[in-house]
Amino acid sequence: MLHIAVLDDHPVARHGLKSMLAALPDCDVAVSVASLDEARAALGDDPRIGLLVADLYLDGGRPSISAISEFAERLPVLVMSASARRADVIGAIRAGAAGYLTKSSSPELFRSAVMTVAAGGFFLAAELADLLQAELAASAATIEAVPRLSDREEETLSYIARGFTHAQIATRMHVRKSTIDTYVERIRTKLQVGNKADLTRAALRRADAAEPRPDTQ
Amino acid sequence: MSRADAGHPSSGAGAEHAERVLMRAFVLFRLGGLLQIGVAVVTAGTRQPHSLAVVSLAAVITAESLGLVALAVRRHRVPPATLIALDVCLCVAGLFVGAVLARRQDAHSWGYFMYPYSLLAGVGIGLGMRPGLSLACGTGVLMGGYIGSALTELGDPVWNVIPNSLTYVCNIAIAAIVAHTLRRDGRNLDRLSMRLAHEESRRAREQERARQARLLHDRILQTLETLVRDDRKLDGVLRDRLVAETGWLRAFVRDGEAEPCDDLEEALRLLAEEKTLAGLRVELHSEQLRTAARGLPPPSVATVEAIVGAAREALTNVQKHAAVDRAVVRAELTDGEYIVTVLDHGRGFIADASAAGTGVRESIKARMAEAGGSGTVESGPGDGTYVELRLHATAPSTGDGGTGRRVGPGQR
Repeated sequence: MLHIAVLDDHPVARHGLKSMLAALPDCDVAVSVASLDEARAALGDDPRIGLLVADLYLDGGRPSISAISEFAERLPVLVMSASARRADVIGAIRAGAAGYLTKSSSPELFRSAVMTVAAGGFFLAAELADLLQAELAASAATIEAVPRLSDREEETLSYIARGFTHAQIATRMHVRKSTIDTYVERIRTKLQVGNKADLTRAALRRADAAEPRPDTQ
Repeated sequence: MSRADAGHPSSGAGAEHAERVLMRAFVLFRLGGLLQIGVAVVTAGTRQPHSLAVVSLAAVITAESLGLVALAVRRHRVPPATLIALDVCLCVAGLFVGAVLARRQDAHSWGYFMYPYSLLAGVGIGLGMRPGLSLACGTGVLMGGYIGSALTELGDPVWNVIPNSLTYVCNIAIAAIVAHTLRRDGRNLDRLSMRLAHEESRRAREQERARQARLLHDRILQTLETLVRDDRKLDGVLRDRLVAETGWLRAFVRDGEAEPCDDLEEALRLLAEEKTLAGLRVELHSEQLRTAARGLPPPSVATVEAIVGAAREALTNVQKHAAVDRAVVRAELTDGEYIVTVLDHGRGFIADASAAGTGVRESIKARMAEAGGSGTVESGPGDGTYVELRLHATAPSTGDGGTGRRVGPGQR
């Protein structure tokens, strides 16, 4: 049985998440909280929790990137936010989130993400892959320390952004599906190594200059 | 016959004009050469009677030249390269025969008319043969003929023969350069004219479409929207249907009034919205495109229209045949090439067995090929359908409507 904690400051959103998670086999929403303090307390009290589904904007105008970083050291974190801003997505992944979904994601995508992240994997949605490819290219142009993806990793990222499943990509690239899983893990690792603070700041600067602030939830 | 030596039957007015100018040059040089023969024969005839051989040689060369001139005038272009090659062979034979006759009559300085004739006639090689091996061979054979005849039959010194032979190279090279430039300019002129014609035709279509859109807006859309707003008059199902149709009509009217669009991401976003409104949830991923295209000139209107038109066909195919309500469109710019993909996880089709699949495949391919790009459609039963559209950012376009950044949808 997978015990899940839900962190969202909107009661209706928490209720929706609970409903969707309840439909998954062997899942139980053990904790449903609205604030970071409540989440810290609940996670401390209940060591069985195996997954945190967290909103990024909690009762304020700034994303809770540092909190994601704090929680990600203890358990897998799946971020679910209304924001699709590149800075938020990249910031959350670099802070250690194992997946990022926007609130417009389909229930099937959500279930798939929960199962992947709960199993210790990195859930790379097509939308996220598109953002990552853009970010890595932009970072590589401005920051020398950015690790470069290999050709095969770049190819994998591109196929994911086009909407292919790992199994379909494996067929197209004539490798096993486990190899694609490995490429995805390597992409995640490369994204999170190096001077994270510098990379995140650079991403935030670029994104802030290019995009308006989103509505927060 | 080489491509460069004559205009294609379907050539435009520019290419035809270039061929006519080159034909006139060919004729004038050839007549100039014949004049050299005439002057030599007449001048020599005043000193001593001609032998039959001299008169025969002059007659053969004159007849052959006049034949070529007649052919050129009739075809409105320089004779084909094969005839030019035969002409070179005859010229070389004439050079040898002329040299033998000039030596026998001790008439070297005035009787060897084949040399000045061949200098002018050789210009035909530059005008009629494509730059490359055939041109070099033609020049070499004519030069070799002169050098051989002058050294062996006339006994001219090498220091005299070699500089003389270089005159052939100069004449032919100048003719080849002029011919190449004229033909190239003619083709460019035709391309520009065709583009202009396409543009005028496209503008006319757009004006007509805008007129129809205005009529639809004023006569029908406003009535429909009034009905939709006053929902007391309609039951739920009918109202939902009306809302959908009104949305479609609103999008159609907006497209009709829009300016041509050179913003690929914006055009794809509008396409995704339109399809989503029609019941197909389209996920558009275009962050990579936005990042990669930053600071670069926008694509041409023709590029955007080709890609968005092909993507629209792919999405319509998903709606009709895939039995799914979701598709992913991804747009990227990699190595100077726009790549737009459309993927669904629907039921797919067998390429050769499905008329619908074959139709959309050919239609997408043709649309992209026309714009200078490529389109591929991959599908199999149960495997969904994957469409990949590729078009280089610098691909030549035939219907470019300008490069100013304007926002609006593509075409329906």
